[in-house]
Amino acid sequence: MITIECIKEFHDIQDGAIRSIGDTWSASEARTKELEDKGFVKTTKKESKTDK
Amino acid sequence: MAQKLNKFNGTGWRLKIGTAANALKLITDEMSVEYGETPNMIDTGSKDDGADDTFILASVSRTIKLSAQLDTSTGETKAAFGDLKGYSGAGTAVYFSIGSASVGEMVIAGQGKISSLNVKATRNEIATIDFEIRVSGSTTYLANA
Repeated sequence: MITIECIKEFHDIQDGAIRSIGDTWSASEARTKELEDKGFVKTTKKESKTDK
Repeated sequence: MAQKLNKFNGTGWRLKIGTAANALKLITDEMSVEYGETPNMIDTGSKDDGADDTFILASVSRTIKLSAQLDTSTGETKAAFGDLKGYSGAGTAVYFSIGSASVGEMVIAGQGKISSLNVKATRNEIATIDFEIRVSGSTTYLANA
């Protein structure tokens, strides 16, 4: 899982959440790429093996 | 959701509410929903203006009205009468989104408080509820992703 931060407000249809600028949450690699490509989020932390 | 020439079947537009912006739930057995904005205008016209009206904008009132079939279940994945009665009685801040659930389409989002909650039960008709949310602050028009 990757920690991502909202940089453009949007409605997250995966869980119905309204994501406001500055909100952070965890997402899969695929979901992170999808949202980054659309300009809604940036990655703040990638989980490493030592995080587990 | 079926979409043609940017028109929508209203069945696909749903209201979701919750006590946090990241925990919104559909309303059980929603039948119809309305969103309305009313910019309140201050009339600045006088006899000096002759026949021409002039205005300045005051506050903007925003409301959501929803009707649904009455469902007395609790603890479900959708919000029902019990949830709404709790929010109404406590003056709970209610976050909401109203719109489509499809990627690339839009929702209106904001927060407010329940300003009316009614149950109607008529002989030989389905029992219904209706409620109104008065929006506190502004609303935003957001893309689904």
